[in-house]
Amino acid sequence: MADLSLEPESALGGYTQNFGDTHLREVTGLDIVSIAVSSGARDALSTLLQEKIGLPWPATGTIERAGDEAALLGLQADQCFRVSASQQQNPVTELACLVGDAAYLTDQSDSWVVLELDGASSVSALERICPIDLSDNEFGALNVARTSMEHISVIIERPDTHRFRLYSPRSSAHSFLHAVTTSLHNL
Amino acid sequence: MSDRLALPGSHRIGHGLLSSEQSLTFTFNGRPYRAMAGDTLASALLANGQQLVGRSFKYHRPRGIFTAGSEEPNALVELGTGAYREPNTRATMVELFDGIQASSQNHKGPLSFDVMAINDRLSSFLSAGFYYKTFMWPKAFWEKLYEPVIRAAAGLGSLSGEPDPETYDKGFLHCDVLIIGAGAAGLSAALSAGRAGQRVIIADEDFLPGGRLNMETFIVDGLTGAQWAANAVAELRAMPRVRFMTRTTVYGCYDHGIYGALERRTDHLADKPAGARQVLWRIYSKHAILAAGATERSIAFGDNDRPGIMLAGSVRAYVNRFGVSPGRQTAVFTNNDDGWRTAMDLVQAGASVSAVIDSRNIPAPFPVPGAQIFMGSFVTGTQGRLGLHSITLSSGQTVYCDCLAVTGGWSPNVHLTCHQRGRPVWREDIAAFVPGQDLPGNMHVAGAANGSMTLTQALTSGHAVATHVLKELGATTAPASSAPQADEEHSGISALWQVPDCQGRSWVDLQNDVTTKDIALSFQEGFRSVEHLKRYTTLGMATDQGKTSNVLGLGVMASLNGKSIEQTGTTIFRPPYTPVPIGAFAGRSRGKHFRPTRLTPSHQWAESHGATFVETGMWMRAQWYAKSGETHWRQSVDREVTQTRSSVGICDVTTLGKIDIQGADAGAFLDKVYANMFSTLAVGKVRYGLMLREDGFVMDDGTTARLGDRHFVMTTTTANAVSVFRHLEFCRQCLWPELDVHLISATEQWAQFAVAGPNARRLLENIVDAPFDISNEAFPFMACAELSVCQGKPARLFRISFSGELAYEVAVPARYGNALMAALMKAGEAFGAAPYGTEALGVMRIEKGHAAGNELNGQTTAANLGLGRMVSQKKDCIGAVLSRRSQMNKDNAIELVGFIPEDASVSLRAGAHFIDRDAEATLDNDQGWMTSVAFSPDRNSSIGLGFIENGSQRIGETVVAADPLRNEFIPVKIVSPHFVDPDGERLRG
Repeated sequence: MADLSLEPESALGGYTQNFGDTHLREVTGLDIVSIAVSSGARDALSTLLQEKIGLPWPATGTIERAGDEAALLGLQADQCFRVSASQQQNPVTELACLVGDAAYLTDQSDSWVVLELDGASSVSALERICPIDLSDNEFGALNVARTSMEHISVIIERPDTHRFRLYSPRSSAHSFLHAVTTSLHNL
Repeated sequence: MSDRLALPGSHRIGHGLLSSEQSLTFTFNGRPYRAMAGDTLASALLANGQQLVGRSFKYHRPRGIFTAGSEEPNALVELGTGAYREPNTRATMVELFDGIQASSQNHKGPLSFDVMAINDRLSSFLSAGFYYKTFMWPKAFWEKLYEPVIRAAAGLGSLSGEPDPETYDKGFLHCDVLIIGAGAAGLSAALSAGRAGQRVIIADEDFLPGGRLNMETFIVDGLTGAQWAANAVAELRAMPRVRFMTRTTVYGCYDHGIYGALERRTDHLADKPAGARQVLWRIYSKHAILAAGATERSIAFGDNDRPGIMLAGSVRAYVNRFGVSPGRQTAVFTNNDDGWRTAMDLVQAGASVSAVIDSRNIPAPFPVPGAQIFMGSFVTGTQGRLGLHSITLSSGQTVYCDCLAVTGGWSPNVHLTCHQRGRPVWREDIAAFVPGQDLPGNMHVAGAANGSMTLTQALTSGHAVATHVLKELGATTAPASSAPQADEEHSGISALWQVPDCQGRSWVDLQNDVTTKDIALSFQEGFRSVEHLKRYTTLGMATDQGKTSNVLGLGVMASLNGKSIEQTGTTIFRPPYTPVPIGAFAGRSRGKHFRPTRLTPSHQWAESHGATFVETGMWMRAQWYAKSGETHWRQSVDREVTQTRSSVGICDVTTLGKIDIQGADAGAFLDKVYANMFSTLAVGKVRYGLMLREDGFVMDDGTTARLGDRHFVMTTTTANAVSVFRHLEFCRQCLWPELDVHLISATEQWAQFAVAGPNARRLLENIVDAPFDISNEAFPFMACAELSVCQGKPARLFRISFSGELAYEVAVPARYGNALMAALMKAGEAFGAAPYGTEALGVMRIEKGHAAGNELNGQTTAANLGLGRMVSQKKDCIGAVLSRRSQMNKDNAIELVGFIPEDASVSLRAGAHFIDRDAEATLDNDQGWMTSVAFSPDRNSSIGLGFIENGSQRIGETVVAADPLRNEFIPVKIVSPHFVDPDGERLRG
């Protein structure tokens, strides 16, 4: 049946909303690939990443970023996420060619729904749901962490001072959106 | 004093610290009153001469305002109306706003004529623990008559009975130093820490920070205490790393420097803004300084509970902060120097003091103009019906007064130091308990909370503790070099707990109507432990938790048993320090927002095609899809099963856990966690796997596909998706860290659909992109592949079957899930493809005899499930050794078999236990139980799966499925668990 085709749907339909001085939106069209270091290949992988995509292996809790186009999120000692703005059918294939056996790659593009919170009230809103200390000294720009918000596993990324990206599982995206908007309403 | 304030009956004698600019109105029991901005409900009532504000808990005695703070035992009122009504609110803590409506509680009839006051006349019969000894007969009357009557007669306020419409929230805060209390010690500590650049949170339950500084007339650094406090607050608020939280009570101390705090954000506003009324904060601190001050306590003497009898420090608070004299003629009864300060402050504010009665045999510290001085004297009784009229002294002399300021000393607020089982220690010199050495980690105590009872001591102590904390934190910036300076004051005390030979009852706990006689009775009954005293008499319970009465009660008990207070012991405290609304604990977690909801990728499609949903864990899954004309769920489910078995059906199975397992040692890892072998699985193949716990029982099952040499994808049951992943990560990180293997959840990544039925392959041929061949020869049972569908969309295909039919599971990235469901249905139109839900899924798996959650209940073994041979003898795995225990391999072990009723019209029930025919339904005769039942359209009968002793050897035997709870005893025949296609021809076809 040649006429059967599949159109992609974002989990939140491209949600975007202003809350006073703060803007909340769903970030769509991202490729997210988990990069896990194969045994003993940490240095080799770091070198490859620097050479091939221009970003070094990120220390745990930090982001190596090249603008909004690409970033490596350091999630744990032997794992990071590569986040890039261009959505491909199979982002693993391209990256696999670059890193070879030095890493194990898993497509996570559809696992996570990314909300971006941008504005002066971001921190105040996140204080309501995020157990992490978001002070500039503890979690400033270019920091990332895995945490739990409202019983949902969340990756929180801080690209710059007033901007946060929140990665939550796709299946509970509506619940998490409710959690964030409630925080903004309740200020 | 302006004319505006000089109202008839007004007790307003000045402005205190209030703003004279704004006048407010409020009602109490429907009567309008006027107040000033900055008043509490208590100060406003006193300003308007309203001494009587409530009735006592048990005896319905008239009660007035006793304190000026959160320790208030008497003045509990109801605020608001309708669903917003809030009972048991302390009038002393209510920040007045224009239009507030308050009413008294716990009385029948008018407040001034409460018919329940008859209880007071019957007090001889209602002493402590009376209900333990009376109302014993007839037994049935207790629950039906006595208890309801007692509860109706005694109590506090009443709830609205409606859902609370207010919004509550919670949140997380972090700091280097948490300072609890913004009085002299707290502000002194905060200034030191803040000036040193530390990240400070300072919280105070009052809306006006300053604590006693706002209530006294002391001078600090050349300024009035209140002005110094205001300056300090302004300086702290201007510091970017200091968060000043007023109207915030730190109510609990938890592990690792975590504190609970309740912030009241809108309670004081007439026009409530959008947002949360109250926020429950979890504060993470590196260090905490408890500067919660101290609470004044009373002295027990005859009829010491009348409206107009107040704590002396509170009288000072009303005079100095609120410009209110609670009485027109005030007498002071004291055992310490503090009482004299009350007398002087009253006189200096222009109020009249009739007498100062000091129990100590010492010279009067100073004269009080206009007042009679009685040294070495006591108050032995009081007179007045709804308010104080006069007092009687130990000499027999009567002194006329409408307010009696009493002080028995001050008790440090040690509550938070006890929240991790810390025990306070007694200090004889101040006649009070102070924090012991066993403080919660990194908690420090400053000021009066630590027994530093004078202002100078408090300021110095705050500064010193902060300096110590800064050192602990490694602060590089030096704190202020010296503490603020204040005049030294007299603070001598001679303990006095109760006045002997009094007229009337001497009250200890005003909130619970506990008298010295009750304590004596408790002692007489043999209760020696303070904890027992508390429970027998209810001393120290309810909303005030005995803040004004605990130490007094201990003192009375100590005098009864002839021991010191130290020997008598003390109770300790637990959270919360003051009441926290249940709504605040719930926060935003109300209704469906109590927990997250997970939606499958095809949820939207299912919703638009009439699905009825069921919650499975957090997931919302389509349970069945009702068609027009179907009036009962069984009709829909039977149709879905029949259509699937006869043609093809489609079910969203995304909820099954999917774990991506990669690494050079991935196969070896799976061999260790699965009972059966996986390292030998060929690429492009799937194998059913059984996972055991350490104890040898079955943990979970599922299929695992090998997509590459170093790449597996494991599926788990929906229910165990998280626990299995957690288990695998534990194994990977802790048991075998040397293995080169990585795990990541892919449950959310892939939308996965079961396509089952004889036409499943033909349907999929319309989806799968050429040239991939899914013929039986090219893609046999238990094959898997990565391929593309619907014109190039990446997909995975697994030929596995839960239904027992020819079946596949096809997966695409979740963004295509909803579209793929629609595409599958379109591709199956020619075959009459039916979407099916979890009910049909369950029916078909029972018909096929597949185990699921009901069978994998944590108490069953591989052998019980008929899968004993899957536990490989060629390798070791988690649970293998213990699965070989003799008790788990008994000859008469239970085995999973099928059951059908002898009478096909009868429905079976899961949970029924199997017994022999004619046997009694007892545990001794129990042979097993029914785990799962369903109506099988294939057999047109109810069928069941269950465990029964030696099941596989008893095929054809009849037993009884006994359900004594429902009085059902159904003869059932033991059959093979494979009701459909027992030889597996369909799924391999």
